[in-house]
Amino acid sequence: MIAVTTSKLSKRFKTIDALKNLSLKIEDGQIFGLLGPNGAGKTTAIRLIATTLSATSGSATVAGHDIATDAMAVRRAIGVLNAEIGLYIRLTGRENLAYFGQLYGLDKATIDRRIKELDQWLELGPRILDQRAGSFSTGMKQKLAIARSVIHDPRIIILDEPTSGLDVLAAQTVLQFMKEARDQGKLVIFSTHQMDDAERLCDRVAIIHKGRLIATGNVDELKQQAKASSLAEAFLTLVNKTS
Amino acid sequence: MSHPILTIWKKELTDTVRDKRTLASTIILPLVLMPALFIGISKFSTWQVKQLTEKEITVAVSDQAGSLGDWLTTQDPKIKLERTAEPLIEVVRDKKADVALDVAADWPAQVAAGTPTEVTVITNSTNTDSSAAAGRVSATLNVFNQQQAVGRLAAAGLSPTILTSFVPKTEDVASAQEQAGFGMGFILPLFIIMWAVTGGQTIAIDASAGERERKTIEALLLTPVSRFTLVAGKFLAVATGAMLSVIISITSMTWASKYMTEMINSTTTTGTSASLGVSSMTGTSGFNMDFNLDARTIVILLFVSVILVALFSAGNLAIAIFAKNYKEAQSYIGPMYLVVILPVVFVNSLPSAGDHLWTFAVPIVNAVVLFKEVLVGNVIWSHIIITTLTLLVTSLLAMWGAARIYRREDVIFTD
Repeated sequence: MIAVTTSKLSKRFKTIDALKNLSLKIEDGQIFGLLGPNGAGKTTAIRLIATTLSATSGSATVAGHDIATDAMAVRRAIGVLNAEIGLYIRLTGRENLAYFGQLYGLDKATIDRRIKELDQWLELGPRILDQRAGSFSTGMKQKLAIARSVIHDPRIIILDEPTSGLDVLAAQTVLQFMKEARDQGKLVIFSTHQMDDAERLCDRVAIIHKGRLIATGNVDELKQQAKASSLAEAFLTLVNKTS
Repeated sequence: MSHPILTIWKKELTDTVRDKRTLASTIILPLVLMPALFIGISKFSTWQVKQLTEKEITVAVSDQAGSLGDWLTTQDPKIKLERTAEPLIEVVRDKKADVALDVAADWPAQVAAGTPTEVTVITNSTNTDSSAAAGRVSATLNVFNQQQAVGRLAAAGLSPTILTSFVPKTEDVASAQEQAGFGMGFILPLFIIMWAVTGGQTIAIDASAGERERKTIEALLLTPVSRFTLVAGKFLAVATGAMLSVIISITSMTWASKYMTEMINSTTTTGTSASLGVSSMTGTSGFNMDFNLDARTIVILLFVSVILVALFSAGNLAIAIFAKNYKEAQSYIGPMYLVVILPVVFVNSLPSAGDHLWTFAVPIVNAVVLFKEVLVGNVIWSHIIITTLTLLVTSLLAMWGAARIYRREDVIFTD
């Protein structure tokens, strides 16, 4: 089932085309890699899909909702984890989760149930749930940020460079989370420039370079297309071709 | 399930209560600063007056002064006489004495003949002690003049009252409460505006620039909450903090004025003038501290304060979101205080500010003038209505502006 479609989606910042004519169809139940070097337009694409930015032209639907006309429904359908872990440091982990749960319109009973589920899934524990976030290690913060992004049990999970700046253990938590989310039938959109992670995890990928989509397909297809032995090599070949 | 505005409001207030920095600027500062300033300055002035009147001073005289020096010490026991053969100017310059008295050797004969004689009080105006001592010596010499005059009139068989035709007397139609309100009118509006501006600033910074600094803003914008709702919740939290500061400052100031009244009453009975400090603070003479706010005055003060707080809260929030972090926000918001307070101080010092109706149509200025009116019990409904409408329109514009700024991608996503 198609979860996200974009049609000639474009964003222009003053004189710069951050994204130009992005057209994609992404199905449920997979990890979809959005690959590209820094500044390629991945974050812009995610922000457009997530409705925090408005498109200059083109259109997109998320879980059947138009990003331009039904932004609130789109936001309810997605959970986004950004590269920078932002938490309210004076609130406990539970309060952080409850706050976002309330903003997603969940009632108290649902919030309590979701926190319990996420506690089991991500092994948050009382240290994360009942202490203020200001004292957390990076790994603990990452776990809480993941929990926050899915507090409303979204159908689509978008992760923007979720492993950058993380140590191996914290990065592993994120990668494991993505796999488990896919196993639950969710669509995981994984934006990264780390080709090894993408090759190991992604069912399909799209390569964006200088704001344009230059290739899409599964990992093997892209390797064949570029006559490369790894996704990293394929990525470099394809990017260089268009430069 | 509460409305998202209330959810955001509650969260921001929880954050505030747990942040010592915000707590200090919103609650503790207005609670402590007002009485500290009010009572502290007054007590300091009282202490200074006491020091000036009761401190022992050294007066240098040459042999020419004769019995005049001794007479001075009988009039003011705190005068210590220093007879010297050194040049009197040098004695004062070298701080061997606070002041010196230079008088002609034949002064007793001149006085006896009824001829005015020049007496020079040598002082050093760059030395506070010397200046104060000069004042005391001059005042004592005036007593000498009066005694001589009374003696001469008596010798001529005349009553001293012959020198007086009119005895000026003042009768004040203002009640003690009105007088107190007038005095308070110089201070209270300033402080209400000061706390309306600054009371919510830390919350505004934390709720906007703080969100950007902590990188929580994007997660917040991803929730299915409209930007207006988001701004409204934050605005409500900022306004709550600012209003709390205003209420605390009014309360603590009222308490401080009552304390001052008791202090002045007790010191007045012991013969010390303690009102100097307050008078100098307020620019009034004979300032009455018998200050009580009646219910109507309180309602009007609070009502207008609420609108003022709304205006400043929206302004603070709109400005602070341009900053990427706490420090930057402080530098953006800091000047706002000056921009507001300087015209307010100016208007506050104008005696006829409330004489023109148009002053009630100038935002912020109108609040100051209205507060002054109300504090002296002068409730003019047309002034209240014009002030309210003007401030309401300005506040709504400021809120609308803040909501628009939060919709601007170039502001929110600038790294």
